[in-house]
Amino acid sequence: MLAFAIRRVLISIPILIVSTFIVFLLVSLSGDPLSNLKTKQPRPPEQTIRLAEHRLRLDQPLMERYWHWMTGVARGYFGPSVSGGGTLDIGTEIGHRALVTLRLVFFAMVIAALIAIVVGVISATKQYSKVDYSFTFTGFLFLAMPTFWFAILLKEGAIWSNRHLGTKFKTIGENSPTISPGLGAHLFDDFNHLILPTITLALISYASWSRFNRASMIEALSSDYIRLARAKGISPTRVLIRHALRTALIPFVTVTALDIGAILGGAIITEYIYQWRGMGDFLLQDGLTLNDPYVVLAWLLVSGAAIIAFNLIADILYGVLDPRIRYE
Amino acid sequence: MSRSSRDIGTHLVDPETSRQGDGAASPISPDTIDPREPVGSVEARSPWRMAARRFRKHKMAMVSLVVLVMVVLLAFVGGALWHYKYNVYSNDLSFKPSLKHPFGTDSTGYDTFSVVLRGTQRSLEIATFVSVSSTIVGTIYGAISGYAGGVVDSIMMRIVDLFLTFPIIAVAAVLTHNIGPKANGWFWISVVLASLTWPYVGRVVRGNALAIREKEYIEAAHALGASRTRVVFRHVVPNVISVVIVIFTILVATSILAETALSFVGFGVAAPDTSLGLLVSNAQTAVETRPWLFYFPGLFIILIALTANFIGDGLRDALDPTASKGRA
Amino acid sequence: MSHYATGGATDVRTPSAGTVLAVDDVSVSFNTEDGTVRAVRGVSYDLHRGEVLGIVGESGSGKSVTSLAVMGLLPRTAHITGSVRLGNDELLGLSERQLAHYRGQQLAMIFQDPMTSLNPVYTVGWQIAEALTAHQHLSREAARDRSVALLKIVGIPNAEERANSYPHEFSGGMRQRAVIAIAMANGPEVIIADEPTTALDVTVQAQVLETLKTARTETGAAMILITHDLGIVAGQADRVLVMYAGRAVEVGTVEEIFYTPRMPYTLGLLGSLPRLDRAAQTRLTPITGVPPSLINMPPGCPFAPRCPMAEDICRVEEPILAPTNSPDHVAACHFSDRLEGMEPGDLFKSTTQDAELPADIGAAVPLLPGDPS
Repeated sequence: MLAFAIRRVLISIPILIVSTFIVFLLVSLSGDPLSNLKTKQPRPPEQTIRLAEHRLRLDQPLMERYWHWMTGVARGYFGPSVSGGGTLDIGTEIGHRALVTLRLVFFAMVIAALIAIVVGVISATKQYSKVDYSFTFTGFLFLAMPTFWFAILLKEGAIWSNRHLGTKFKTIGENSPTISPGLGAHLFDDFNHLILPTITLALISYASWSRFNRASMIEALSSDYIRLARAKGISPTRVLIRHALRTALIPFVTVTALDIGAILGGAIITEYIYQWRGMGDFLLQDGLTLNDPYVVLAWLLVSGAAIIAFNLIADILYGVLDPRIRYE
Repeated sequence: MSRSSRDIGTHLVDPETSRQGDGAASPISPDTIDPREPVGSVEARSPWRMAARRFRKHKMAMVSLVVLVMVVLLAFVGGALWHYKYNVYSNDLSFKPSLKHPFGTDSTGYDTFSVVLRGTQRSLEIATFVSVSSTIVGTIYGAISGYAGGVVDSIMMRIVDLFLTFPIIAVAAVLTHNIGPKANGWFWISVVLASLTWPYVGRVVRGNALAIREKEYIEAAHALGASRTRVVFRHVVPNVISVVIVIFTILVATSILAETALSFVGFGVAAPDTSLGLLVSNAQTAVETRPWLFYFPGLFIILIALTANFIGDGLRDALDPTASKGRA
Repeated sequence: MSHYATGGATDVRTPSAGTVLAVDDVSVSFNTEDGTVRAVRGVSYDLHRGEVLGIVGESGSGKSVTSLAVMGLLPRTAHITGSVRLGNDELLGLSERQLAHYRGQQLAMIFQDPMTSLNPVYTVGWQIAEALTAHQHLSREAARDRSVALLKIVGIPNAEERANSYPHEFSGGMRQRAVIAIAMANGPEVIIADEPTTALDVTVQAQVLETLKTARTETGAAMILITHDLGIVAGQADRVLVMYAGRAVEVGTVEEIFYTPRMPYTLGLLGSLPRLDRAAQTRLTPITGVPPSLINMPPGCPFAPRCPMAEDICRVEEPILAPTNSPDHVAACHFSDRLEGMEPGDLFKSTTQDAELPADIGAAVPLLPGDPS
């Protein structure tokens, strides 16, 4: 297993390197980072533009820039930034932002997976019942729900509730700028800010998983080994959990881990609505709106690495959960 | 509807069934039929007719088909007939929904109904372009990869992995953040989204093609001297067509959600053009004061994505009853 | 292998003292999109203590469905009527939880496909131990020791080690032995074996049949052996129940069924069985046609369309099981007395299409194919 994991990591590295190159190419071609500077009125002196170009290494050929960037990343330096006159340290910033986003993604995935398992099991055991149909319809509804629309709706609902019911939902930011000191107060504040975005992301994400879990539960429940388990006279609950769910979870875990890309996409939108200073904001605001190519590159690198890591976890979990898979 | 056993003789010469079951007519004598063959019990039906019948039985899919057709007609025909134009403002500022303005008006006096229909039109155009082109590209790519197998397959699938390493919405935002306001911006946004969604189609089709490759009729085609190109297009592609139809409908939903999300965060369709995502984005601040501006475009997105998903579900059940694990 | 002789006066409908399982007028139907499939139509039989009852029939004759109805393992869409009594307890209508008390403990089942019968994610030893602890208070160690002992009994070499193997590390024959071990685990009174050897290689079939015999001697259980293979029935069963189109069409001892069949269908089955005790030149005599559809069955005897001696009454009135010469030997045929002393060749024609072939090749025309149900 360990040997397999190591080999799998080694295979992932070239994929990541090739993808960094493609990403670098795309970002380089997708616009001039100095277009804001150049179109400024009155036009800044030629010298200023030259200097900025030099600082962003725009005067170097593409391959050289790529090489500089990659070797920099290996040393923990993610390249020069445009914004703040270059004072922004992309590495430090993205590290902080990634933690903020990770918090959201982690809780949303756990909650979504739990909902999906419960809904999937109930739907599968009560197939074609009213409960099953309503779960199915709700699932389809969330599959069709635009993340941004649902997030705004939830946010407005919370604001209304804060105003009329006296609740204290936090609708802006990942934490409060000023809070009383103490770890407890901090954790409570973070938790309070997490509630709405986590609900949004979890509900948007659970639907396809619950459909999947329902399907694998139905497949498991109609299998011969479930029939034998029932014929053995073990309790129906044990048949359902220890036999059907246990085998249905094998593909389920893989599918959830592989969905990290979609979750990250959803997190970008969710953070945007709730005005979190997370990864999403870093890409959309600092990276794209301010036209900062090295911010975009750092973002794609980090999220790409995260997705590859989740793929790896999925593979390894598959091996752990399914004794038929033996990695040589 | 079903035949008695006395009809077996005529049943045997029925062209419909002899096309379906390769072993229905026994070489020994018309009477010594292999009893394993499901002959003689059920009415003769062609696979497509059976699929159509199963689809019609899927209530949600049928309702969805009707609703989606109505939405499309409304957007492309209804908008033109409506007495308010999306680009001509009236003197009715911030009107609530009424008979005169079914979806109300905005603060400039534009009729929301005609604006929403215009946005629906644009969003549907993009969704159609994306799903058609990425289905075509993905199907051909997947069929070739799965049929070729071996090293070619591995390389082609690693390329797909590369595409799937990043969240679609992020890469799309990177690629489109300079296109938005240009002329024909919607076309380039479609191209970007299609270039990011086809690998999903490719992967699924490849899995099916891989299985088809092992079938006897492919071997037979080779034995008869068919070229590889001919085998891919005449045997592999037609046999994955039912899977492809299902993916296509799901893609319509996926791409409308992707486009609207992209437009919402400001990297998709931009003014003066409009899309449902942009309309929701513009209405963000008006949720409390003029909620109709927010609700109607959102409901149209849900309506399109929901119906497309239900149609896909119905098609899956209808075209591949063995793979379907229950329906809505 | 002779066990208990078929006991006293047995009308199939009244359970006698030696009866462990009484199946009375069980019918099963399914609603499908093509109509109602009447898979089993009023089957009754008694299983006596320690005996082996063979149930024979083609695919779709309802033999497996009947047994699944007894076990309560049919899908919820199945509509079941009648009565199934285990000892004095009625099983039909019990909840899954109530059935769990009987299953495995008094009533065990062995399924057709050993490749898929065991849960792939648990070791074989774990799965046997689970069957044990479901009905007995055993420590983990005791359950484990008992599983290993059971694996030894069913003839798994290195049972200690193999108990830790996963099903995919077992061959088909070994898996079926493990399933037999599970069936034996709690010393049941009845073991239902549903085509236990069909999915196996011919060479392994004999070994598994031998293991089944061991299971019977170890537990003293009565067995229902479902098969489409008359050869297996001849070697294993005490009594035979022949099923056709969802009904029992003939019941009797092995001798009665094989030597004095009283239902044309049984006779036809025998005629299609290659036998070493007949002259090499004797041709096989297949039954022509196919079984009727179980949806919208025509009136009359379901075998009538394929029966060479069918008369008008056969197409109108479905015959009931009636006693023949011996009261225990019952057959459902209007003209069962006419079959006395008849050979298969007297009733069914051998295939005519192969006239120019040598007789021994022509004899290879299959009649009862492998049962994939």
